[in-house]
Amino acid sequence: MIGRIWRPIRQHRVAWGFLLPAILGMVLVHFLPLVQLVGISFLDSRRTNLGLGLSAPAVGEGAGILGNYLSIFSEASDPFHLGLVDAVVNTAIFTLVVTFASIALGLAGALLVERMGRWRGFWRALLMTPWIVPAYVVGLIWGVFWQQDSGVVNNSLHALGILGEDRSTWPMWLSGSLTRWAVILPAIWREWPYALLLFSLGLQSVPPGIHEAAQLDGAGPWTRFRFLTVPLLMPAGSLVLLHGLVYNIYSFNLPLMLFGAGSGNGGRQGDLLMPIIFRNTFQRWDFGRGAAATVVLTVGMFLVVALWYRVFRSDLERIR
Amino acid sequence: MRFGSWRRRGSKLFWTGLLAVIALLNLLPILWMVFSSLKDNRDLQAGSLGFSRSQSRLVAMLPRREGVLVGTTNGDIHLIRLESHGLVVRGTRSLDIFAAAYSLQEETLWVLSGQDGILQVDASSLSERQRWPMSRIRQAFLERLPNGTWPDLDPVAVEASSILAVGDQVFATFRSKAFPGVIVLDRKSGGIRFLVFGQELPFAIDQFLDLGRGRVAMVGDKGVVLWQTAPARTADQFLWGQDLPAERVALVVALDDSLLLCQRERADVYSLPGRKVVRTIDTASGLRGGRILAVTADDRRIWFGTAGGIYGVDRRAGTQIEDDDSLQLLAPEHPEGNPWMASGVLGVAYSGGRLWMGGSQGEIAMGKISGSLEVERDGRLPEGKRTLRFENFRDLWQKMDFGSYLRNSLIISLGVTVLSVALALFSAYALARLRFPGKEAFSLMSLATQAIPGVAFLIPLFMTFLWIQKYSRESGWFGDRGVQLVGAWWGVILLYAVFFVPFSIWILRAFFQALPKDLEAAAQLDGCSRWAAFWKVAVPAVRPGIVVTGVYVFLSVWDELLFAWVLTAEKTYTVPVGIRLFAGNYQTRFDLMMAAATVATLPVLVLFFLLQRRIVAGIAPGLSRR
Repeated sequence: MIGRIWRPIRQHRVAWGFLLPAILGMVLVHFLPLVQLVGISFLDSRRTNLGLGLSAPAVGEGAGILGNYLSIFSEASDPFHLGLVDAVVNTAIFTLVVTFASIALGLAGALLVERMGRWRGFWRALLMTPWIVPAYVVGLIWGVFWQQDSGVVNNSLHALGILGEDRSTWPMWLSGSLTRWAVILPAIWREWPYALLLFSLGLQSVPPGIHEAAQLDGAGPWTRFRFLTVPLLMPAGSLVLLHGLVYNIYSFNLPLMLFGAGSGNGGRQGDLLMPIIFRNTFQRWDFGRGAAATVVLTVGMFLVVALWYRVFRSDLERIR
Repeated sequence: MRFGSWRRRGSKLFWTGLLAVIALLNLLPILWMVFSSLKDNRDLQAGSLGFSRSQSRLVAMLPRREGVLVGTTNGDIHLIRLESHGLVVRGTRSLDIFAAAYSLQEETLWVLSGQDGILQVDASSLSERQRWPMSRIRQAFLERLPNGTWPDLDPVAVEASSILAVGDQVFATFRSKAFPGVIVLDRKSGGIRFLVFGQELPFAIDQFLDLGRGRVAMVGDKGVVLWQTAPARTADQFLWGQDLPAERVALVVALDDSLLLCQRERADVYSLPGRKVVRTIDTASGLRGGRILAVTADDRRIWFGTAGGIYGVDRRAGTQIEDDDSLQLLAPEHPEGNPWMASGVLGVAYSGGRLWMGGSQGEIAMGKISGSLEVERDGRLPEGKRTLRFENFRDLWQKMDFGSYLRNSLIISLGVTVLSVALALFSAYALARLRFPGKEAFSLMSLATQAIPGVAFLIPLFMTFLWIQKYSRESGWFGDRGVQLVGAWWGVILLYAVFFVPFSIWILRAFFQALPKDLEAAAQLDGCSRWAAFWKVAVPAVRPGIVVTGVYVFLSVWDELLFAWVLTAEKTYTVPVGIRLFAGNYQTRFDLMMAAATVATLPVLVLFFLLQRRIVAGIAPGLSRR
């Protein structure tokens, strides 16, 4: 048995030698902790027994070993559960709107930049700037921009004559139903340049002359876009989609700094998954339930990625 | 030229214009962030969209002939005249200094500045006659006390200070605990002397009053000194809490042989010869105006400029006033309501039957007193100059330990970048160039780590760190505190470095794959070992890839808040952690938040624009390959 594993490694010791530093590191930082995480999700590890660490007792008799999972999913009295349901809905809306809006804007931007010929690189770099701004800075500055009475958004709307004189009637962006948009818009602002960049690179892989050839064959602008550009951009689009899904579901820095001066609590319509898991784990020190929620989230993410892979498999073959 | 060519040009112009508009809109939040970092926080809180104006808050209102001289905090002096149609600003001089106090003596205006020392200005032409810079004052002090310590004054913060010209002498001092004495300027010789606290003067002084007949009252933190100018000596002294009623007062005015001692909402008339309080005026219960900001007196009344308007009180009324009716409340009548009520009155001055008033929003007015006060003319001070407050960045460094955060972020980001890329080089090369069983499994595993949230690793790692700390402390081999991984440099750097290895492998692999295979084959034919082919040939050839990977890792670590929040301690706080702490503690300091955001963004923006071509090419090498 051992021989069956060991022999190929010995035969390819150069290759495995090259991989060794990364494997060692990843086992310590990625894989062992993951195993521990699953273990912790069954523990009753909370503020009162933080000192016990990993030797905290397993979840109690009544709830059974799945106690943490059951309570975050269904226990009505659990504060984590209540917020989590809202956060799942909010994160789903947030991720889908941000990802698809970024794809639409990025595609339009890339087509526009493509017209610029020699100046393409210049315009692309200029449009990409928001993507370089750190996400926590984006959250911080938009948290100030959205302020009801002193923020630049409401005051600009007022200067344009859209909002009236009475400041108390101005929209409250950082509480109530508008919070959803208060976190979505900055995220789109930061994300769409990435889509633009990938689409723009994708457009460069379109063989020159293909559009002219199609035009000679009588294809109109829409037909050419639909049957030439879109298929050629599918690999880029699939990467943007995957990145958008993963990055936005795990969005943390932006909502954290946007709401409540760094507390990251966006309320019922604005709270997202990562901030709520972080608050419950590292501020309420409820490691057991935090770990359980994280495990569920990770499994969910793998399902999303698997689905993505099924859909875009053929497109990905082209760029390998 | 053909029509088609014009059309093509027109269309090109249209698309370029559209792109320019989009680019501008897209940059707007960043530009606004930088612009806001240079604004006054009061303007940010008020939601003003334009430039901040230099702070032209009224400091002094000095009656002069048919008008009044107004001095402001930013060193603007306005000569205001009474004309038939209103109050007209006849002359304005910007000294371009932070002015702390003004004093008018006949044709000469004296200005005290924490930044530029003492200035002598002609009261008619408003031109500067002479200047005694701070360096000269400092020199005079060190001549007097060679071993003395000269304070480091903050020119913006020293606002409440005092200057007074009496006869041939000018007295000046700064309301700063560190300031060591009273500056005495001789008008004729231009020489500077010092009255040092603890020697000529018993305590620190922050206000001067002219009592007439060569006497100056010096008000300080322990009491009031009665100073005789010729011969120069302390004639008498009164201490707070002993002779004088209050602990210490904000504003003192001389009334003949009495002092009017104003606290926040109460004023006492203290007779110097009798050494006792002869009358108390309680503005909290008696005057609806509230806090006293300015005081002046004519023969019959004392005028209070308060946060809520102007009030006059009869000077000769009884010793103690207990109810509203005995106060003569005189709110200025104004056709459009009463602007004074809202904004507060910073200056009042009485001269020749006229009362001059200055509001905190730049309003000025002149009133005649005939039974009640009636505003006859009013006007407005010119606004201060447009300014950019670079001081915000200095304040940022003072309010929070930003230098330390920046250093920590740089050390951690650079350390992680180097380590992570170095670790990833080997694996990336193996994945790109070598064939071996398990290759697919390894690359799949390393990719899969990218779909797992950071918190999944953070929870167990944090608990493990606590566990290591606990057991290493109990073992006794590592000293009293054990191995502290939370808050240690190397803990965070090692963790991040490995954390970013899969990501680095993924980018670097594409660069190795893009290298021509013959390169190393040729090297190996020349007798190089596999190792030498890698290290001496392949690695130098992927240098651009190393740079790109490094930039990505740097950008990611620079923007990392989750791990940093949990795993750093005070000495290792990074910029994001520091900014989050700051945002929690100073929720309304929008100016400093924007300054912090600007400082956190600029390094990565510069990095991006320097290496933009390479970054763009490296992000998805498969995509743009034709």
